[in-house]
Amino acid sequence: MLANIDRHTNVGIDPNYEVDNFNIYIDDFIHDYLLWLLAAGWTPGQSIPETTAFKALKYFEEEVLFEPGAPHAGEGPTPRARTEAGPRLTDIVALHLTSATSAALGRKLQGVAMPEAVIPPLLRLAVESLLVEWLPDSSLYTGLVLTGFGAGQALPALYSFRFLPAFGGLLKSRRYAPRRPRPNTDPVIFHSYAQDQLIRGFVYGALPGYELTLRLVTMDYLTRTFDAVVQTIGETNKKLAQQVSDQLADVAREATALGLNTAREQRSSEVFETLWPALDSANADVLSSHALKLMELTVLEHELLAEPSVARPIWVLAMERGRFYWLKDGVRA
Amino acid sequence: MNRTDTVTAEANRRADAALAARTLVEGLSRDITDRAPVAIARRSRPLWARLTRRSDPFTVSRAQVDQWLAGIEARHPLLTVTAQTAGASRLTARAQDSQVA
Repeated sequence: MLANIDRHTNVGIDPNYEVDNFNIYIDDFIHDYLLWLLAAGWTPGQSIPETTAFKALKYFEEEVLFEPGAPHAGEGPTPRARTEAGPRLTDIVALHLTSATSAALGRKLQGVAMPEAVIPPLLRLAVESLLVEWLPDSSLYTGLVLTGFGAGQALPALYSFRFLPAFGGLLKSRRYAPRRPRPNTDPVIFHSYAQDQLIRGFVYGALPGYELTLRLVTMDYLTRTFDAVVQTIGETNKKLAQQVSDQLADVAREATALGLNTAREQRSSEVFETLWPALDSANADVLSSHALKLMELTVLEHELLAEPSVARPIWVLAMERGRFYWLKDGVRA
Repeated sequence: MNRTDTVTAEANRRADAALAARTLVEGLSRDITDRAPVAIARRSRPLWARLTRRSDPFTVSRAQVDQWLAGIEARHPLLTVTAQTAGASRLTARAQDSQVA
């Protein structure tokens, strides 16, 4: 249903807005391809060997068209599920694909020529990617979580989707986290998805943006320092410089990740040692009360910063098998 | 090498490549991550010409697009509610575990 928004809704999306969305999608698609190009050995700024371009395309094709994870013995990789194309999608692709691809490649490669032979299969993969259940890693997503009890189900299920702005009658979406609680072993699912920076900050002890800045600045400083050390050694002993360079190759990235991950684990352990038992056997009333508190973290931040985009009332839907009710700012509506 | 070994080796290779790409997301050159538009429009040669040094612009016909889309429809299963199988759920649930406590 999500993948065929036009068939189920009449939202009247502005055609110019659709073209913008399509261009952004292609930009993100190309960005992901360039990541594979880097993984295949390309150095930014240098010319791209044709063999490297095709090697990256092969990796990218596998990522886009097939489910991740190891196939079972004796089987090939599992093709991703796909949606159906409509004529509006064909129109927008035929009109804008090549210009969007050129613009994205031009902006990112900045004067480096792409081997011409790889362009047609890359365009083809871009078109194919539109139908399969895949989104570029580089995209900015928004999310939607659906949860509830199926017919005759004793336990609820949760489906978390990520999706991009619509174009050509298509809403690119991907199931992100289908989850179902398991008694005894995994009775609680704690899942935040939108407006959740403060929730993540509460759980992990730091906001995602704070962590990113810390990671990038620390890595940059370490990398520059290591480069200077290697250069100094190289002035007298090139072989030793290469050995030191190899030893330090992953240190900047791993050191920052180690520090952040350890701090995260420490904080989340503290949080869940207290929170988990409270949620473990909670009924819908208790769970909805906790959900309200978590959303209040975000609302309070917006109120303090005078940003009206997120504000009260906070609506919470409480569900138990066979019944549900709404709460408005904690009061049954 | 038997077929099982081949499949395992293939899976390992894909996992290594995926890890390498994810790693590079964090350590990317600013040339790649910087998405600010550059003044490409001011240059005299068309963008597609500078990208590949060819004399004609890239083109894709409507028929070609239709053919590619039809190919995917033929080779890939249609996404349905019943396609949300336990196997697919397990895969994505594991990925989610690292992000959600």
